[in-house]
Amino acid sequence: MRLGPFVLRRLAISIFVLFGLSILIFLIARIVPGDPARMALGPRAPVDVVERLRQQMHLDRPLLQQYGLWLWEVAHGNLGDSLVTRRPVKQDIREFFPATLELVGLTAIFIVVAGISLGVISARYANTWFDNVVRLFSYLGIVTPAFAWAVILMLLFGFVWHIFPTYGRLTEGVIPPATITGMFTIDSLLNGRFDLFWDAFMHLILPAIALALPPMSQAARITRSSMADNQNKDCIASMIAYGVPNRVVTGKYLLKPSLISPITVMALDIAATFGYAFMVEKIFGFPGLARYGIQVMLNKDVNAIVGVVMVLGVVFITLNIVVDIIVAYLDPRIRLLGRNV
Amino acid sequence: MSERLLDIKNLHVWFKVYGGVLKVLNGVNFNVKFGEKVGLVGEAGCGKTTTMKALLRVLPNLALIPEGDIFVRGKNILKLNSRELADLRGRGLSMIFQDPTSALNPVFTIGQQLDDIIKYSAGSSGQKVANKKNIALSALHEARLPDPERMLDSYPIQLSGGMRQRVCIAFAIATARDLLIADEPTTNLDMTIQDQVLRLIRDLVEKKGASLILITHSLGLVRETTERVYVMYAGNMIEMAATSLLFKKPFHPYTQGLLASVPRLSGGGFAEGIPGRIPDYRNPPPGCRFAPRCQYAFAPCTKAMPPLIDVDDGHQVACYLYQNGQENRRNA
Amino acid sequence: MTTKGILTASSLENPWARTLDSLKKTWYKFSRNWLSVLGLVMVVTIFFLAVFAPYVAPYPQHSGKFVDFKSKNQPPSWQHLMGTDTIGRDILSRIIFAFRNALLMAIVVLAISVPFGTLTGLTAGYYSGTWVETVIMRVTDVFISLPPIILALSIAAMLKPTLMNSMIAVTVSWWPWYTRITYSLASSIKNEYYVQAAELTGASKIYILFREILPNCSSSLLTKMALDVGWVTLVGAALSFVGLGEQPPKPALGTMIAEGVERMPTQWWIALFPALAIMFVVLGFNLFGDGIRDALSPEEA
Repeated sequence: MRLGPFVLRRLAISIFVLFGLSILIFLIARIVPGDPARMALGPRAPVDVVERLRQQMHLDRPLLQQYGLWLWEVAHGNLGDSLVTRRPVKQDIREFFPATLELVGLTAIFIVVAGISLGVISARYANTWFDNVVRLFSYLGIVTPAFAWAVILMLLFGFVWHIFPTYGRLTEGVIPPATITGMFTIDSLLNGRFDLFWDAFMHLILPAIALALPPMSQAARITRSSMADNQNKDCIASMIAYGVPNRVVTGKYLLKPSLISPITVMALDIAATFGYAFMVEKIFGFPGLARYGIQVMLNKDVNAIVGVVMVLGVVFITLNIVVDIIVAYLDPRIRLLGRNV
Repeated sequence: MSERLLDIKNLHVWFKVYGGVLKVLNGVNFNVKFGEKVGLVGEAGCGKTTTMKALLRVLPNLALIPEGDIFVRGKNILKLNSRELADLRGRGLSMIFQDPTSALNPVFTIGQQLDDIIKYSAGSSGQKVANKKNIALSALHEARLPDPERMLDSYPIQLSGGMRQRVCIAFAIATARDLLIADEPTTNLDMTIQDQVLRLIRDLVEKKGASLILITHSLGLVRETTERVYVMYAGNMIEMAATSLLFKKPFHPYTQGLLASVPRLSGGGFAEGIPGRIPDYRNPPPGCRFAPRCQYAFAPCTKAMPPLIDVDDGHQVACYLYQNGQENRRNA
Repeated sequence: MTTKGILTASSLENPWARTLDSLKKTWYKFSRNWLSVLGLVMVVTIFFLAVFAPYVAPYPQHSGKFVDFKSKNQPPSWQHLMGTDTIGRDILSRIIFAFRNALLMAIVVLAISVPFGTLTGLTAGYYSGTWVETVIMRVTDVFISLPPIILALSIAAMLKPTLMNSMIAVTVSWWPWYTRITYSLASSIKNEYYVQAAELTGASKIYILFREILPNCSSSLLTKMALDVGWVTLVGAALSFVGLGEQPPKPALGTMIAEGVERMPTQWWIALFPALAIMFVVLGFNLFGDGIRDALSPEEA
C-alpha cells in the first residue's frame, strides 16, 4: 500500500492505544491507597465536607461510571485542579510542558545530528584511529547515565570554566518573552528579541548535552554497525562496479538503508529522554514538566499525575507515528508488505 | 599483452579474522582476452567470488593483498588511486551476482538505480549522458522484461526472482562494457528461467562483442557457454584449457574427480564424489592444497604449490604429475 | 586420505566430554574480546560486594541508623576512601550495601518479568493471526507506549515508597519489552522448516514452544537479560533519586546522589561516587552482556 493508507492505519491503531492508555492510567490512579478527597482537604477537615467532595469527585459511583465521567471531562479539556499548585492542571501543563518540550527538542537535534554524523564518519574510516576513539567514547557515553553527565557537566562548566549557565531557563531577573508557544527560544525569535533567544539557548545547552550524550552514543554505534553491515552487500559492490562514485554510493545507496535501525532506536531514546529529563531538570533547577511531574507524583496529586501522563502519552504516540512514517518512507518493504520483512 | 583485457598474476588475498589469517587466494593466475568467453569452475568456498571482488576492488576492509598484480587493459589496478579507479570502472565492467535479491538495493526503485548507473557510465569525464530514461527503457526491453515503464517505478521487492535477475542483466545491457562477470547467475533460479537468463547473457555478450567471465559450479553450463575454462580449487587455478578439450582430456586429479561426479543419464552406476573437504584457510596444507584429498599424492606435493605449466596446446595444469610437458604418472 | 573431523570418536562416546567441549568453545568465544572478560570481572565484583557486604565494607554499621556529626562532610581520605556524607556516614560502605538492594531489585524484577514476558511473547508469536495475538500485542502496545521509566515512576509514586513497591513498579513496566522481542523472534522462527516438521510429526504445542522455538530465542534473550541488570539498576536509582523505593536511613544509590546534588560543588564527593558506582554497574553488565552475545552467537563460516 502507498504511504497514505499506511498512515491512516497507524493513526487508527494509535487512537486505540491511547484509549487503552487512558484506562491503564485511570486504574493506576484509582489504586492509590487512601481517600483522594480526604487527602485534598487535609486531616482536619470535618467528615461531611470530605463526604461532599467525594460526591463531587464522583468517588461513590461504580468504577466504570467514574471512568466514563472522567473521560468526558478530559475530552473537554478539564483535567481538574492540582493539589500542589491549587490551580487547574491545564494551566500547570501549559506553563511547564513547553519548557521540557524545548529541552527535549534541542536534545533530539543533538542526538540525530551528532549521532548519525559520527556514525557515518566512523563507518567511512572504519578501524582507523578516528573510529577507535569514537567507539571508545561512545561506549563510555552509553553507560554513563544522563544524570551522571549532568553532575559532571555542572562541575566542569558551572564551576571550573564559567562558560554556560547552570540554573534555570533564564538568567535571574530577565523577563521572558511574550508567550506564543511557551518555548522561550522560539518565542524570543518570534518576538525579534535575539538577546533573549541567546540567553534561553545558553541555559538549555548543558542539560541538553547531558541528556543527549547516552542516546547520541548509542545512535552513533548503531549507525556505524548498520553501515558496516550494509557495506559488504552485493548491491553496494554492484554500484561500485558500475562506476558510481564513492561519495554517491556512500551518501545515497549505503546511507538510506542503514538509517532504518538507528532511527527506530533514536525514537525510543527520545521518548525515554522525557523520563530522564526529570533528574536533569532537578539538578539544573530547570522548571519543566518533568520536575513538576515528580513533585505531583510524590504528593499523590492524582489529577496532576493523570494529566502529566496523558500529555506524555499523546507525545509518545505522536512520536511513534512520526517515526513509523519516516521508516516506511525509508524502507518501501514495510509499506508495501504492511509489516517488517 | 595487449590482446588481454584482464590479466591476474600470482594474486594472494588474505583475510584478517580473530583467530589469525585466512589465506584464501594462494597465487591465482587468470586471464581473459578481448571478446573471449571464459568459464571459472570450482566448488563452494574455493575463492571464485573473492577473486572477482579483488578484481573489482570491493574486498572488505579486513582483506589484504600481500602479493600479486591485476592488469586491466594493461594497467595495474592495484596501484591506482581512487580517482583513476573510478575512471576505469566507469568504462570497465559489469557484474551480475548470484543472488539477485541482494544485488539490488531494496530501498531504491529500479529506475533510480538505473539512472545513476547510466549517468556514471561515461566515467568521471563528466560527459552528460542524454536520454537516460530511454536508454533505461530500451535496456529493460532488451532484457525481455514486461512493461518497462512500470518497472522503472517498482521496487525490487515487488519482482520475482527471475525478473530481478533480468533487471541485473538490464543494468549490464544499459552500460555496454567490455567485460561482463556473471557470478552463478542462474543458481538461485527456477529451471525454466535459467535457460532464458543464460540465453540473454549469451546474446548480450555476443552483440556487444564483450568478454564474459562465467563463474559457476555447474559443468553443464560451462560446456554450453564458454570457449575456455579455468578450474579452481582452494585458492589456486589448478587447470585451464579450451572447454571441449577439458571435458575430453582432464589432466588434474581434481578435475577428473569433478567430471566423474556428474551423474550420467546412461551407462548405469553411481556417480562418485571426491572424498574429503576443502582445507582450513587458517592452516592450509604446505604445498599443493589438494594433496590431502588426492589419491596420486607423492613426495613433492607436500613441499610447495605446483605452478601452472603448459602440458598441451593451450592446456595448463598445476600438478607435479605432469612435469616438463610430459605425463609423469606413477601408476599407469 | 584423512578426513578432518571436529569431534574425535572418543568424545562422542562420553556425553560429559561433549558438554565440557562446548563449554570450552563458549568460553573461547566469550573471552576473545578482553572487554567482555573485564565485564565478567566487574560483575563478579559487584556480586561479591553485595553478598559479603557486612564483611567487606569498612564501616558496616554506617548502613543503618548511624550519626556521627563530628566526622560529617569529610573529603576522601585514608580513613574514608570516598569521604563521608552530611551526617558522618562512610560513603564507600553505604555504596557497598546499596549494591545489595540494587542487585536484589534487578534479580526480582527480571525473575518475574522475563518469564511472564517471554511466555506471552511466545504465545502471541506462535498464534499470530488469531485473536490471541491481537489481544496480547495490543495490551503490550499500551504498556509500551510509555517509556519504562515513566510508567515505573507513576506506579511507584502511587504506592507507598518501599523497596517492594518500587520493585513491583519496575516489573510491571519491564515485562512488555520481553514480550515484544520474543514475539518478533517467535513469529519469524515459527515459519522455519524445523518447526513445521515438528508440527507435522504431531508434537504438542508445549513441546514446540519450549523445545523448538524458545531455544532459538535464547541467545537474544540471555543477552538482553545481562544488559538489563544494569538498566534496571539505573531505573531503580532514578526511582530512589526521587524518594521512591528504599527509604533512608537504608542506603540506595539514587538517594545518595540526590543528597549529594544539594551539596554541590563544595562537597562534590557525596554525589560523584554514587554516580560512579551506578556507572560501574551499568558498564560492567554492558560489557558482560556483549560478551554473552559473542559467546552465544553461532559460528560464522
